[in-house]
Amino acid sequence: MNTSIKLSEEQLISLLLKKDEKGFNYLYDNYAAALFGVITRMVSSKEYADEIMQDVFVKIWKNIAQFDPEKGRLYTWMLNLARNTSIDYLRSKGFQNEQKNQSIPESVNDSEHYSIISDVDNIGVKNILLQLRPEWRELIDLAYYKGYTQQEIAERLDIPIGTIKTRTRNALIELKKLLKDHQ
Amino acid sequence: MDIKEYISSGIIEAYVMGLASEEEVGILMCVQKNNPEVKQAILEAEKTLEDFNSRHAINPPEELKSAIWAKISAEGEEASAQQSSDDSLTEDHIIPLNQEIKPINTVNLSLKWLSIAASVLLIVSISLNLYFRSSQNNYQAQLLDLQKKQQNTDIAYNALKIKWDIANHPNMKTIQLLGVEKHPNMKAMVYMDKSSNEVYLSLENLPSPPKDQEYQLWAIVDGKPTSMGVFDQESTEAVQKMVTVTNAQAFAITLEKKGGSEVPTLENMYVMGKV
Repeated sequence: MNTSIKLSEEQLISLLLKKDEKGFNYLYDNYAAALFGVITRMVSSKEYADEIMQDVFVKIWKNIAQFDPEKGRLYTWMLNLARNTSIDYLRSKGFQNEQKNQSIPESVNDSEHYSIISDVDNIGVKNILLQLRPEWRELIDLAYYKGYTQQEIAERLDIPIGTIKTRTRNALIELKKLLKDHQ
Repeated sequence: MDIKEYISSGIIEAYVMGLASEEEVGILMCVQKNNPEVKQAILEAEKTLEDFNSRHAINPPEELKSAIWAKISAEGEEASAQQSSDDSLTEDHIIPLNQEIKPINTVNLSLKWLSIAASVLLIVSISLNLYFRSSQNNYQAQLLDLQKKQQNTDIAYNALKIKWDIANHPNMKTIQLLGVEKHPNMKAMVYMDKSSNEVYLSLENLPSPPKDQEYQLWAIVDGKPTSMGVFDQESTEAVQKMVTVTNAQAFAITLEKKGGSEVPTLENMYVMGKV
């Protein structure tokens, strides 16, 4: 967030609805890095991340009229749009074939996977996920970054769906605490 | 399940993480509409993820911003170009109509119109499909809501019906128990079957007792209180059958510990009435 003028979400939305270039600039300057972060972590590839970023911003631009403030904040809406677009990429045939050829490790616990993650982080920011219990980190990774369903996670980790809910709750509560501690 | 339990079940976290099933999301959206506590919990969980993502932001390559703006501008132009080419298409369609039309052309033309009509129908059908699919989710939530309301109405109706039947039974004697000095507006009804001596109790206007306490009915027989049993607050029965008694001169209700007491706690007396 590096713009001197601070717009409220409502002001930003009304600029975007008017298709005002100022709206695009503000949107990009304030949210691009966060969206690029989540996308890069999901697809673990910078080239794909660039492409997905373009898609996501075009979608935000085109679909802003469908955003309903009653249902939550713009920021969350955009994060979910970025996640869904990335998940579509992850599931597309072309992407999966490429991954197979490069034989990137699949396991979410793989330390290499996380070292990729910390490498691309902004300097000085340590990935807070690394401070979570492994079982919580694994869950966030499978759910948030890989887009697996409860059913898929239950089968993969061999735990009941109820446990997934409790674990997700505990993971988020801990995450909130960590974010507060590291402000 | 009360709302606290619902919130702590993990459903909200599952939702914000994209894990909840469609059905769970439907119910949650319905609940949050009427419950600010749930809505707040959702917003807070979303905020955690927003903060998390802000902290782990990664600066995209410098050139990406202008590339994206170029793409957005190009798409905008394309859309308007599409618009004008559509306009010229319509003009093309009009021209042949003004020319001399040979019979064979009529066939072609009507085929053309037929195909346009078919396309329009197809589009209408697809949009209707999409529309119905999205409204179906809405209806499901509304249906759940209505079913719940209907159940509540049924319970209330049955309670009233039973009360009415008992009160209008020819053998029944109705005794009004009215609030004592400390509790002026309170009221309960005792119905006594004159032939079988069975006693029924209905609480008309008494506050809900604390969790660890219950209302206990007493009959005064020859000046001494006899327990007639406690009123089961958990039960949906509005009129409950109590202990059978003969020669009762009066009835009274006190608030006692759960399960009832041996002797009434007189300072906790709420209502009483003479037979």
